[in-house]
Amino acid sequence: MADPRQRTAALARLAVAYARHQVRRTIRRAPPRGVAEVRARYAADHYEHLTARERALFPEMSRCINCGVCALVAGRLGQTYVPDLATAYLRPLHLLPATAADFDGPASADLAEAAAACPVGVPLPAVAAIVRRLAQA
Amino acid sequence: MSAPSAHDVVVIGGGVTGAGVARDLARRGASVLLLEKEDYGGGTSGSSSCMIHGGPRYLQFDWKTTKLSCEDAGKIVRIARHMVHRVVFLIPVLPGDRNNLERMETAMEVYDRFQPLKLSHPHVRLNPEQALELEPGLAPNLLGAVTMEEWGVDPHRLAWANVQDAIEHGAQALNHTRVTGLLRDGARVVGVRYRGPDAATGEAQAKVVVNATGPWSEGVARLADAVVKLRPAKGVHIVYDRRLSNFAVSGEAVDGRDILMVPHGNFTLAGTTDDDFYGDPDDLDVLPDEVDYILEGFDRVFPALRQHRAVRVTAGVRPTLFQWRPNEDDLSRRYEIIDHRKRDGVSGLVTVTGGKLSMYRLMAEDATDLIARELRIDERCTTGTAPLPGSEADLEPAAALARAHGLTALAVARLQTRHGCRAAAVLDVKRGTSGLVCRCEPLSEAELIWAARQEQVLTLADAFRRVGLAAGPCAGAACVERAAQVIGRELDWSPSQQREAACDFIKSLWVGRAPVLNRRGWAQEELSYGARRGYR
Repeated sequence: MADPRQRTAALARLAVAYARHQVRRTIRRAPPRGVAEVRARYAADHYEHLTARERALFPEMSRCINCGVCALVAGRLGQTYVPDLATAYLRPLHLLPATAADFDGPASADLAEAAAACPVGVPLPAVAAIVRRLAQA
Repeated sequence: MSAPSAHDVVVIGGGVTGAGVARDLARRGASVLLLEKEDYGGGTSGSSSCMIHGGPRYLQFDWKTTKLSCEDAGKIVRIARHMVHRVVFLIPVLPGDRNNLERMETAMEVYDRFQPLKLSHPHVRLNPEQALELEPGLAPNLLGAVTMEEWGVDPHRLAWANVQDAIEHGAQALNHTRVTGLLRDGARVVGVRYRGPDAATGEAQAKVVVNATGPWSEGVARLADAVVKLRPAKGVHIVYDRRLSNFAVSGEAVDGRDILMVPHGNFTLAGTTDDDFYGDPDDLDVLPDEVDYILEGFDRVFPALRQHRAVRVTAGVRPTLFQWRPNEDDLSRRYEIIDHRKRDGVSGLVTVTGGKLSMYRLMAEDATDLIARELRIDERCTTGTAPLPGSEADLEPAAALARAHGLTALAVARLQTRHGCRAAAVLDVKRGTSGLVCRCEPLSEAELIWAARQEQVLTLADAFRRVGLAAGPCAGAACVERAAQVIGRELDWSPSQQREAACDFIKSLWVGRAPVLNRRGWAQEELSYGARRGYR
C-alpha cells in the first residue's frame, strides 16, 4: 500500500476534482460527445464497431471445428479459401482493411451451398458479409 | 563440462524484466550472459493481461506512480510501435456499481491529464444508447459509459525483442538453460552453474549476477543464502478465439474487483483473478471456480460472453512484494531493486522483483544504473529512446509485400505485428515458395524457418510463443505435424523426434484447453483425435 500521507493527498485531490466536475456539470450540462467522436478518433486504428445484428450473429462465427467440408463444397473468394473466412479473417477485425486485396478476383464460392454442407452450421454468407464490410471500412 | 565463460554480468531470468536488464547492460557496453530456464517470456510476462497501462487505479493511492507509469508506458509505445496497439476501453456504469457515472468520469478527467504522456486521447462520455451502439453486447441496463485508452502488446514478442536487441549489442542469451547453483567466493557471488537443453552443464563467471526470476526469485536468492520475500499472487485469464470487439470492456466481479475483457491481435483475453498463491510456480492448475469467477463477472456487464468460444486459459504468478494485511487486489505493484550486499552481506548479487509489465523498462533501467555504478560504466541508458528491432522504420503496405511473396495480405499483416519493418527479411528466408503452415493464425513457413534459425525456437511450444503456432481456433489440429517437420528440418530432428515433439506439444496445449472446452470444442477435439488415428 502507498504511504498513508500520499494516500490522503491522493484522495483529497480526487475530492477536489469531483467537486469541480459537479460544478462544471451543473453550469454547463453539455451533451455527451458520443459515437461520432469515438469513430473519428479511432478511424486510423480501424476500430470499427459491430452492428447489433452482427453482434447477435457473432458467437455463431466461432462454431467452426476445422473439418474442411466447406472447402470441398465451395471454392474461393478471390484468393481466400472459404474455411479461412471464419477461422482466420473474422478474428483480427482491425487488420481487415489491410486485407481487401485478398478478396480481389473471381469469386467462385457458393457460400450458401457451403453453409448448407457445414456440419455445425457456421453462417458462411453472414461471415463473408461482415468480413467484406470491415475490409472495405 | 566446458571451461567457465567470463562476463561482466549474468542475468538469470528471460522474462521481460530480465531481457530488459540484458538489453540495457549490453547497450551500455557490458558483456552479458542471459539465462532462461524455459523460454523467453514464458513465465509471468507471457501470462499477463498483455497491457502497457498507466494505472488509473493508482490515482487513489499515489499520483506519482500513475505519472511515472504513464511516462514509461509512453517510452515503450515509442520504441515498440510495430507491436503495440491501442486498447480502447468502454467502461459501462451499471446500477449498483461501486462508482456512479459522475465519480467514474471524474477519475477519467484526472487520468486525462496523464494520457498525453503515453500518446493517448482523453476520455469520451457516452449515454446508454451511444454505448450500446458502439458495443451492442453490453448489458442493456447500463446507465452510461466512459471511454479510456491504454496500450496492448504481445508480451512474448516484447520479451524476445529485448533479447534480440541485447544480442545485437553483443550479449549472449540461452533459453532452456537452468541455473542449478551460484558460484561463491566466501560471501561473494562470482557466477552461476547451469544445465543446458542437451543436459550439458557449464559455469559462467560474472562480476555481478542479476536475479530477475519473478516468482522464482525467492528460490534463486536462497542459493546464495540471501532473502527475497514475496507475496505471490496467481492470475488466470480466459482466451477467446477472436477479437470479440474492437473495444475492451471493464466490469466488476462479484467481490468488487475490476475485471477486463481486452482484444489483442486476433484474440480476446478476459480476466483476471488475483489470489494469494502458495504452490510451485512451475506447476499451475486452473480451477473451474476461477473460470466461473470470471464468467460470472461478465454475465453482468457483457452477457454474450458465455456464448463465445474460449480456446484456452492462461495462468501465471505475479511476484508481488510481501506485505501483511492488504487483500490481493490492493497489493501495490511496486518494484524493488535489492543489492544483497547491503541487505544480506552477500555481494555480487542483485535482485529485481515486483512491478508490472508496463514498468519493465524502468525497472531494468534502475537495476542497470545500480550495476553500472558497481562496474564503473559511465554510459547512460538508451532503452527509452532506441527503437526495438522491427520498429526502426515505417511498415511497407501489407498488400504489396504479400504480392511479392505469394502470401495473403492477412498473413503479412499479422507477420508485421511481430517483425515490424523487418518482415521482408523474414519472408526472404524462403522466397517464392512460402506457404502457410497454420491457416487460422495465419503463420507462414518462412516465418517458422526464421524463428528456428534466428529466434532460438527449440521446441514447438517456443514457436507458439514466438510466432503464434497453434494459437488460433484450430488449436494445432491442422498445423502441428507440418510445423514439426519444418522446425525439425532446421534442427535436424529425425522423423520420430518430429512425431514426439508434436505429441508433447499437443499434450501441453490440452492442459490449457481442458478447463474451457465447450460443445464445439469437444467436437473439434474428437475430430482431431480421429484424424491423427488416436495419437495424442
